[in-house]
Amino acid sequence: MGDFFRQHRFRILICILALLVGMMLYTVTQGGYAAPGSGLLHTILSPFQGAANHISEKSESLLSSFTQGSRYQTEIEELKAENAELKNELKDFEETKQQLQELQQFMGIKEEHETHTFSAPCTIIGYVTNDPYHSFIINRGSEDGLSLHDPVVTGEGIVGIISTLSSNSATVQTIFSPDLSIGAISADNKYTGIVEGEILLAESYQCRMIYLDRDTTLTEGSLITTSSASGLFPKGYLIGTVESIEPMESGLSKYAVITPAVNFEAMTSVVVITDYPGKGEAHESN
Amino acid sequence: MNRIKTRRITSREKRNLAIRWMLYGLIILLCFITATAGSFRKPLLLIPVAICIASYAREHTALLTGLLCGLLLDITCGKLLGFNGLILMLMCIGISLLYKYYLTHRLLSFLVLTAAGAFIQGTLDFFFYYAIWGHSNVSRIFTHHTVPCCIYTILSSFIVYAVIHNINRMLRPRTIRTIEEAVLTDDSQ
Repeated sequence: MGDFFRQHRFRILICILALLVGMMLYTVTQGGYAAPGSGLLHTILSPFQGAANHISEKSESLLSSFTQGSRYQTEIEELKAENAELKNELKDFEETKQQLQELQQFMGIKEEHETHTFSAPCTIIGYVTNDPYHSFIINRGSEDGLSLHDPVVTGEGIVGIISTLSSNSATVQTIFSPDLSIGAISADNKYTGIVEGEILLAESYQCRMIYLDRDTTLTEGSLITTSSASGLFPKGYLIGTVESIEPMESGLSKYAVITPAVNFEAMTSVVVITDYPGKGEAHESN
Repeated sequence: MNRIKTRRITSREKRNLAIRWMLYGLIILLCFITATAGSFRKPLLLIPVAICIASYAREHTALLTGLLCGLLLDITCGKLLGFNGLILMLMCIGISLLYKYYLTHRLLSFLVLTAAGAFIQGTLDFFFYYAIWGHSNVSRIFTHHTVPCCIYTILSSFIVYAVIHNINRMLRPRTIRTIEEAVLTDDSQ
């Protein structure tokens, strides 16, 4: 094995290592913008990723219908071929209905926030592999007018921000990530705090609102919306509802466990707020 | 210094080599595409694939395979480009050298190497992306994400080994271990 270290190949290895470290440093300095190579790769492979994700979703739903027991099985036997056909038609109808509802919701948020500029609906083409905070990849990038740290929403509420951007795709960091802090306010404008992710809560698709007073009267079911405090999100977007109030580890304040308004498990498309009054003020002031 | 004259590569062997690398490319592409499909937890198939290809390859080929698989892994896992590239590249060179000098192709040795590789990658990933940031309950990530992911990767390596081992068995020139075997092979050609 010692021969290897004396060979010409070993010097090539050292050169590649240096190149790789250089590339890593370059990527770090880009602050979230994807390296040119990875962007190109995403562009080429995004149709394949989208197709694979679609197949995966279909298989998941098929598998869950099998695992949910014999009830469905007997029903299917009774309904026979005609009902199966109707079911397929209904499934298509449901899918179209869901798409229509999403579009209507997107239209709704456009009407609600006239001063905000939105991107066209973005389809989820894949998920970041084994990410505990459920980050995902969308089919639009800088060429579609998206920029880094743009807020991502659906008609139901907020989803996260753009964390990595390439020309034709972007990675969305969700509100379950502890690295993302959003200024929040209760719907009755009484309580303010910061919504952030937490490792244990992320497993059950929940996040928390911290820095609540010890004597807070915020109750279960209260609605939480964005305030413009962090500068990352425009004001007035629904985050979720309060599930419970718990004391912080330090005991000095309390936090509210929040169930997001958006159903992340069923979500198929999102929109990005590309411009809004006050955008980037927090970054500039920092 | 006189060099030992090597046998010329036949056109059939050239064709087999091309097919073999096309199949490798296809497997790597498939692993990359499936890695981002669905939000459920899944094995990092690119690790056993890189290790298995490296076990049959020379050092420089292993280097490139490790680098490619590592960079693809960086893209699917949303990590800093080059992080997994560096880990898998070094891992693959080491594995290629181990197979060249010490190991023979056995399922058990491949499983041990995959387990070690998956564990090293998982631990480094956990340390640099979660542990050093000091979030609360961070050990949960290790027990509920890193370890299951390693186990899935090890379990999936049975399939990876079966596929790549068979590709090599069919398309790679047979290794000649004795003089008698060499004579017989030469006669048959």
